[in-house]
Amino acid sequence: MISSGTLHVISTELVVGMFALAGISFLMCALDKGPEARESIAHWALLGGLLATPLAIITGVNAAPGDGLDNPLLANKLLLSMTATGLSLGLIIKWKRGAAIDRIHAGIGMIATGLIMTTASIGGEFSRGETLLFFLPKEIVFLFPKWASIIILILGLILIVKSTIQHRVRAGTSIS
Amino acid sequence: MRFRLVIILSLLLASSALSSANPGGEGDEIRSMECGGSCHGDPGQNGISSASIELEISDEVWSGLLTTITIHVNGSNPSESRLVGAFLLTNDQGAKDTPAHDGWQIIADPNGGLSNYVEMESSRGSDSLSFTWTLRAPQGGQHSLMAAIHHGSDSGGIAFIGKSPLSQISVVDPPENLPRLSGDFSPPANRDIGEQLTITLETENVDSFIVEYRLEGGTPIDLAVKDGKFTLPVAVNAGVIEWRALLEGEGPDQTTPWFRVVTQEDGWQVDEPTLFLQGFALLILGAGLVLLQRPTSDDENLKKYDQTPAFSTGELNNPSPLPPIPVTGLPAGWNMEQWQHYGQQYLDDLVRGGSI
Repeated sequence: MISSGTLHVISTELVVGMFALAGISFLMCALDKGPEARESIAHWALLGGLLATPLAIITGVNAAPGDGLDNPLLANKLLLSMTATGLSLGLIIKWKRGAAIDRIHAGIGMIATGLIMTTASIGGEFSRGETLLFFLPKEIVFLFPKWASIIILILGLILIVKSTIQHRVRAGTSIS
Repeated sequence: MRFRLVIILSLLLASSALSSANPGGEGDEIRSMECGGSCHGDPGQNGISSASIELEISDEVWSGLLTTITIHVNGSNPSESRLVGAFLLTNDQGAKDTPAHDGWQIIADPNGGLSNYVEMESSRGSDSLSFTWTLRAPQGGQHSLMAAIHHGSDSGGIAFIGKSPLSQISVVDPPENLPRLSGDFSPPANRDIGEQLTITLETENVDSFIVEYRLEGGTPIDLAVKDGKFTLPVAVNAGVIEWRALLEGEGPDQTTPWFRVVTQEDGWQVDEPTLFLQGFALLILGAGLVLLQRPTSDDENLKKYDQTPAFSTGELNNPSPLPPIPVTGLPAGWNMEQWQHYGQQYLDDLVRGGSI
């Protein structure tokens, strides 16, 4: 019988390892150095990290003592990991659409990696009480009112729809 | 560059400390000795705690009735977080050692829960802790209980364990007419700040009883009992209040153990739907922002491959002007296309007196 805590360690290492690989590959992309495969490695590693993330979340929820989100560290973990997931999904979809990997793209990839690393670090602080990121205000949760979240959600959906339309128009133009 | 990298990595490695402790604690739970090896990294590398560990319990308790047991821990000198974890166990074999394995029922743990492993913070001043459990005794016979503790160290390098000796307890069947609390009665173990707790005492073989309460370790104060009910004072802040009942009936008078009611400060709370909605909104916004970001690389790539200054298309589209044709006409055998390209050279040679 393996406890949720042990499973959480395994799944977290998968996530962190994949994202770390993606982050380094994105750094190479930004510096324009390293093997040609760096772009593929960055995005596939990002995808691998995203696939392992739900497992880490589920085992983490089971392993955490207490019920629900009763600690600001857990709330911040949720917000950071969701933001990182959104950025990562955007990067992967954009890459699959054939976008060129410029420095902004690589920079966003590194930001997503940084967010996941911060999330993992907060997890370490939650379980072990130790952190290297002592200077971050992790006890403060920036919680928006519901209406603000709904506006952000609608804004995000509009951006996604607009980018999809632009992509299709561009694809149609290049075919004709 | 490589040398610097090696130096930086070496410094990072040197600054880390190898520790098998878990300064954040593991949380209250039902656990075997040393958590089966999962609380502190490797039990084989744990140090032996210098803390004194004592069990306070009656040598003889009534079977099926409530009793309390207290573990006193002094001088543990724990880590910076001051957390000390205490186990209430029935043996030191590391398996099948929880009180439930020997028939004991935990009614309340020191933190108001139902765990045999609990964590508390040791104050810096006294460095002493008392962990009190309320238990329902098992069937009659000889039983044993012991305590174990876990804590870190000041330097943070080593995790420590400590154990008390096994205490032998005689559990005997109570006389039939013994005034007692009902077998179904479980004293409440916790309450919220501001809550006025009313308890209905369920008894057997009791003609009358009085109830007294005290703040942890303080002087007992009588409580008014009406229709078998009494009310504990409102909790104005976090802490522990204890109460007990003095039961009178046909049999010998009985005094229950001190029952603890723990009041803890409200934990951090958040409106979870709002938080989840915000998380999802941030996910969608993040994806949308990335997808809509215009690639700057298109222009840059174009510039990278743009050879305009080095190779003018004007030269291709506008051929050089036609040199003036001599009055004698084109040289013999030349056509206009050749004249256009080499005519000027022919004229220059003529000026220099040369011949083609």
